[in-house]
Amino acid sequence: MKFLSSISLASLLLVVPAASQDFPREQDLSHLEGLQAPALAVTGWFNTAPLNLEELKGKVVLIDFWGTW
Amino acid sequence: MPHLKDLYAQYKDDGLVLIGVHSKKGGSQAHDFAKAKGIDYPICVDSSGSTVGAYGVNSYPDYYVIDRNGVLRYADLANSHVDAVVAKLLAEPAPGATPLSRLRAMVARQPDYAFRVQPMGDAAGMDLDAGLCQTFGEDAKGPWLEIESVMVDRKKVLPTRRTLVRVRADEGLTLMRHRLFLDGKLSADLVLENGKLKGRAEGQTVLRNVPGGLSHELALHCHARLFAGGDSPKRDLAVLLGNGRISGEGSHLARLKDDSDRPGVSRIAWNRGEREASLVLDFDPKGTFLGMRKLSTSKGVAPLGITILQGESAETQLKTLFPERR
Repeated sequence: MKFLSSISLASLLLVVPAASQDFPREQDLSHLEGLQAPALAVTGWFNTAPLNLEELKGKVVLIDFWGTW
Repeated sequence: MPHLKDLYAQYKDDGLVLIGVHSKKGGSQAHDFAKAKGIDYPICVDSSGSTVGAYGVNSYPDYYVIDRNGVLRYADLANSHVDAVVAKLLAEPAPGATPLSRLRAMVARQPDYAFRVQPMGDAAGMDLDAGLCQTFGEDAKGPWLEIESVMVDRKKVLPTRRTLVRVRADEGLTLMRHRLFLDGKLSADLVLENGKLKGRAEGQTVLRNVPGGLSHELALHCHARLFAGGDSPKRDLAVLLGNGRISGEGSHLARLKDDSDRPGVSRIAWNRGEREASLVLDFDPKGTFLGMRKLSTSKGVAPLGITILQGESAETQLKTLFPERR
């Protein structure tokens, strides 16, 4: 039996504070940011029952504005 | 569009809701298009055009990300940063999150980490003091043992440490001793003894608090063995935990059973004051950690809910877990 001279060992914090890094926008809409998101006045839901943002609190919502023409 | 489907698949279980808001123009085609493209996330049509106006949409596609509090955090985010922002906001605590739910979210988003914490304390009204998980695996460099200690005080999640111990199979029988310090409050000694590749490893871990550190006394005593042989590795993990009793004769025993065709089960038992509890950990035959289930008891009373092994009564499980108390 011999002792290992080098032990591959990593001890690290699991909690890494989120970097205060920001992400670029395609236009300046800073007047909209930091406020409650505007309600979705939409129709024609598909793949889901109608959703509203108030009931989605607790979730992260990604809105993809898209078109197919 | 395929990218969004992937993003949705990756994160929907973590709390992402993806909504495709189709423009007023061409809106009648949206459903057919979604079907044709196999889009499975919610879509809708901005049939009046007012939503596009309210959000300041000026091109398609445009992406907006709303946090868990309903706050619009990123308006017209650069397309190439959508993934990063989604991951960032998902990592933020939900409103009303408990320490345990935050801990779980924190652990769950570690991409290289197979250990997930279930809500052990908040669901059953028990205070979780500590969780200790040992995960075994093998990669190109040989076998490894990863030890995770998770400490939760009544009010907060304490810093969590992860230690990876590389088992050096080519050195024959080796002994490794390793000590952990957690912010000067907790320490752990690990003695790991292992044989050759596909041999045997034994380890012993002691975690104890320093007086004045934690708000309540806590000590864990852990004993672990790793067996691996042939093409079907066998593992036997025994974990002894006792409040204030770290001398090694620990009163609680748990075992991990593993065979080649069904997930192994590891039980960790601990006691604190008048209460006892145990954890069930699932591993696949390769030692990959699959998840954790809970069996909690209150001094011999039947478990609160989860049956951990089919065909065994709660009483049988208790006797298995705490044989010396019967």
